[in-house]
Amino acid sequence: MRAYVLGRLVSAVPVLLGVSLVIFLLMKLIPGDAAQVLAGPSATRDEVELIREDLGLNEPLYVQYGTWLWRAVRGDLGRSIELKAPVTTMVLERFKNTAILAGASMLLAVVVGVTAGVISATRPLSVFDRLAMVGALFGNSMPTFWLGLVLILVGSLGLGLFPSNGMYDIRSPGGLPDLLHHLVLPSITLAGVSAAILARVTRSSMLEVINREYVTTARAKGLDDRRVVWGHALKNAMLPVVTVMGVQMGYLLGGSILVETVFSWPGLGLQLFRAISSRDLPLVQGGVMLVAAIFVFLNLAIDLLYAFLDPRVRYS
Amino acid sequence: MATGTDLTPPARQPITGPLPHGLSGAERGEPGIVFPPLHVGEAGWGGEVTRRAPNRTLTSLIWARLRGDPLALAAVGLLLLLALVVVAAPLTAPRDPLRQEPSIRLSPPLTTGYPLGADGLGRDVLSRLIWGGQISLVVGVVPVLLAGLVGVAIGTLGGFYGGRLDNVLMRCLDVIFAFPAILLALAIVATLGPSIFNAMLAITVVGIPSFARLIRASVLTLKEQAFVEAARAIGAGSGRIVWRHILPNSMSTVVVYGTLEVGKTVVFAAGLSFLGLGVQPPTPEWGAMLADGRQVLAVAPHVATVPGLVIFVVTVGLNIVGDALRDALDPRLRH
Repeated sequence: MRAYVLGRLVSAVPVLLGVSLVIFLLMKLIPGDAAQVLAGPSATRDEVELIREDLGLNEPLYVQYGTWLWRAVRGDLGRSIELKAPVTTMVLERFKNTAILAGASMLLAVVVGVTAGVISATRPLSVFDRLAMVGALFGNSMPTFWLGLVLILVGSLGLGLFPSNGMYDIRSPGGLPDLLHHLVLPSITLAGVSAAILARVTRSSMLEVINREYVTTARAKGLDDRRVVWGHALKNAMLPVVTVMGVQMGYLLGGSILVETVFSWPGLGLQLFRAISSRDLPLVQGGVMLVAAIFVFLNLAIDLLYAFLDPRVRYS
Repeated sequence: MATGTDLTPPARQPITGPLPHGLSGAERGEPGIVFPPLHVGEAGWGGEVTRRAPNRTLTSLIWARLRGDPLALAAVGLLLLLALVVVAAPLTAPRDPLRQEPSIRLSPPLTTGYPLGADGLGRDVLSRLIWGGQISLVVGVVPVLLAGLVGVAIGTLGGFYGGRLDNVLMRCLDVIFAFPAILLALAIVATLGPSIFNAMLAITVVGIPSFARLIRASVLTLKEQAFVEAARAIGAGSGRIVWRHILPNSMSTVVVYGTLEVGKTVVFAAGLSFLGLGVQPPTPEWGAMLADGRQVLAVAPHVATVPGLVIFVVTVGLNIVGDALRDALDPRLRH
């Protein structure tokens, strides 16, 4: 197991290097003089020079990359053009809020998706199964931002139950109840697609195992149905579900940019959206780098979890 | 030895057998489904071919399956109808999509002359939807075709030749895969500047790895098959083997995946436009229309909800067709 973990950790290094190279080179694709573009049309010559110096644009490309990477590794992602603040602090500060939203959505998606999938699989072609699968098809086809607007329309403007925005600071005086209250609509919106996909995967995975001999044996032993389904069958059906959960984590991190924009949720997504609008590229670069790095580590964690659940994986 | 591409073996044998855990590749997050060959190349199946097997090409197989699936047929019909209306926009759109009529601003649906109402600038929502559909159609299909083309080329090269080339290609794709798709697309568009062309470029780039992995897995299995060896034995070169024997047998997988991908791409592109990174105003596009409607959600909800509903309907249709195709081509479901 230790060798497997070590091997997987080492294999993440070239991927991370590649990711950093892509992000660095993207920055080089800005049409025209990068310093001038970054500074904006109203900048003075000194300001442009300052940015050129700051980014080391007079150096050869590989030196620039080396410098940038070395700084990034030590946690320095440069300074925001617009707000003149260090990108690392800004990005990390906002990422906490995104993590709250994405975490809540993941929890919601897993609970709803896996439960629906298991019930569907135990009663295939029943009314519940059919409704759940139609729901999954719809959920999978729904544009996230549209679902968000519809939920605002119904839950906020229509019924007045939940706020559609106004979550300016997670540490607001309202405390946890206030946070949860604000979290309802955005987390449902973000969880929709993932819940749908998890329901479909869980259903097909459960159907594969539910007629296996060990399940029949468990039943024959006289175990009650609930323990057979949720204990024996689900445990073995979880492997593909776990893989999909990993993919969905990435989707939730990416999708949060749309949801945060719709609900003005003060996370990294909204920050990136604003940074793109104002062409604050160091901030965009830093934010994308952080999310990509987290995504790589999440996938790594899923791989390790997978090896933990299924010992065969370690030896293949 | 018999020639032609429509011969099937006396006994059809799936190449990969059942998938582990019964999942499609897309659902597991990594494409890896390999369907059994639908065509067999000129070298035949090695066994004696005494009579022509029933003609079961890709299209006939798909058609046979779809015919028995009314839901999928309805979805195909609906999509074709929508495509027709959209392509014939100059004839079908009742008004000029850019013309502003201040007096009817935010009119609700079913206003006389404006069946779906008007938006915040007094433009006809129905006409904008129809014209906007042209862009959504192009943006949904073109990046998938391009990504498919590049992905198939990369995956075939890597899978067929293997070795260092394969290693380098796959590691490059790993890097693209390491980004959440929308984030990479966003970074690309943010750098190159918001435009529909750049959005399509970004969507193409993030779409390539899945196609490449899918086809690579299929090529890896196929190149070990007896009919490939037979083709090599009778002197076929690498190019001919790939072109005539391997690619035709991998295509069904790519077609299914591509269909499902078009649905995702329509939503993806609308998302980019929603963020202001795709189509620029005043050009009508579904995602951009939805974004316009956000400001007037409380007073005129139809401006945002109607375009969203259209995206939703189109995606549901594409997903139904894609699922039906997958079932049609998945050997385990063909009894």
